[in-house]
Amino acid sequence: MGKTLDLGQRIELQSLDTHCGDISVGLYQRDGDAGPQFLVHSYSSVDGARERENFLRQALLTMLGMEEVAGADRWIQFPCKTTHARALKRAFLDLTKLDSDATLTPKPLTAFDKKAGADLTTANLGAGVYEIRAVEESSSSTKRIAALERGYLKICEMEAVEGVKGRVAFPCKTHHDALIGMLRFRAANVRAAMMEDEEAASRGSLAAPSQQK
Amino acid sequence: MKDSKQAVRPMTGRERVLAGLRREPVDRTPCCNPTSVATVELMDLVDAHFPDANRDPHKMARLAATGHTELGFDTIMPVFSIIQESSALGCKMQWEGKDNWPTVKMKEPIWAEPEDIKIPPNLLTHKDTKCVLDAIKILKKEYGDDVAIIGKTMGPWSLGYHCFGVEKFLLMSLDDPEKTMVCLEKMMKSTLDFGQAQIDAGADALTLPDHATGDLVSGEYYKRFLRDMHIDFARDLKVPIILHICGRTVDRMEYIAQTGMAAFHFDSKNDPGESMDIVKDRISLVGNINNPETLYAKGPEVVRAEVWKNLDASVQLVGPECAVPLQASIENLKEIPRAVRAWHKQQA
Repeated sequence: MGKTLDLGQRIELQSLDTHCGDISVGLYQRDGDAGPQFLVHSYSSVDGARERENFLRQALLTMLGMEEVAGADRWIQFPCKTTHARALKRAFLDLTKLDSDATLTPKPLTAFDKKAGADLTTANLGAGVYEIRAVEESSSSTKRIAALERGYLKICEMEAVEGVKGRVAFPCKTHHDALIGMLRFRAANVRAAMMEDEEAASRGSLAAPSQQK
Repeated sequence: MKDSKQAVRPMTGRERVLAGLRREPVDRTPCCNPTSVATVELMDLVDAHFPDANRDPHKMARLAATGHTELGFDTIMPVFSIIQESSALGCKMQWEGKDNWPTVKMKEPIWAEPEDIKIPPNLLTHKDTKCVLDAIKILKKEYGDDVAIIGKTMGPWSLGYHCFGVEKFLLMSLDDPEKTMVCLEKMMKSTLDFGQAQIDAGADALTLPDHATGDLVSGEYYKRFLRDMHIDFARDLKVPIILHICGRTVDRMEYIAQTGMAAFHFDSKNDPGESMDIVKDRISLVGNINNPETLYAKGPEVVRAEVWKNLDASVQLVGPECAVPLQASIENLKEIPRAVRAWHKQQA
């Protein structure tokens, strides 16, 4: 009798969680009655593994604004009951970089942008629409707004609002302030996020000797 | 698949695999892992992590067994890596950590000339080869005749890369083919001795990777340097041998089919139907579920489609094309045996 579980599809994996004895922690997705549901799970039974799962689950609830699924122990979901797969996967990997003692506070929608030399705000306009604005306008802030817009479109799989620069929208038409705040840094640095993804994908694959570096 | 439709009594995994390797009737297509299905999650599950699971026989056996107990394969393959005997030969090693493969430091080769080649007297008692032999003994004792235990012994071309360095070995093959043949013949002893020791330890079959890969070596090269050597391996090692070569290899499958080896473990770069047409009934094929895209990045439905494509082409044994990425998901790997059963149910 096997010990592995049928948890649905694993959509992301931190293969080496340095904050908990290098255990591997997966993020699993299953289809619930009211949309996709997610579970943080590790097959490790080392001391602290369950606590680590709980911390990461709590981190997703707090830092991404997810919610518990009623009657489904440990499973969580987005309030909009959709997937937001790319954003969730990226955020999960980033959250595994936090120590389990870290204080969990949702990130603000306004933050200082070094390259713009000013605070940039991603304002919630309702119905899942957000507008990126600079507190003080300048040519560099205009460029950064455009960069952040492109970043959100990619990282959060948002949609551009036609005819309005700096405005992006979630297809689910629901606001996700916590998710926007959490991934702001990544949206501003998409290239680095993509390079991280590529590096992770190449690690752990056995290459023929002729392909090894 | 004509053989699978014949009425036969339920078989054990071992019987099923050995029949598949002989192209005899089976109750269903065997799920065969000739390389590795170890993943980081399975390492966690049984507390047997890389790199220790490559060097401690108990951990090696424990992790390997999950291929059968958790994933449902008809085989258990404890030799996850391709470096065990290279370590024993004296190559410089990089053992890496839990989430990556151990490798030979090929930029620091140990041999340059044929006379440098010396198979050390402790080849089979070195920690990293003995680990394999002990793991096979443990698994044989635990699983007896229920599951096919597969060993692995590296062919001389792969050992050439490891011991001479890839570039130097390939250049030698261009500049001085005769010298290259001398080297290959001297390195055969490692392949034969380590292979025979695994048979003595209880291996039911052996995988023999010999990386004359499609990207660097042509089909004619294979014929010139390796075909006859592989005929000798098939003759001298008295268990079914599964030759493994990565990449696009249809240009050498005709020659491979002439070797007398039991099976060829083929890459997803080769279409199953096209490959079966070439080898005909002379050698079994094992494969060829794609690793980097399908098993690593896609979902069970894509895995199922690839399994069925192989079954539709009458490929004799189904499994991943090569060692699966350590981050591959358990549900994708479990889908391989599930898809095989589902296909047979549909055909019944």
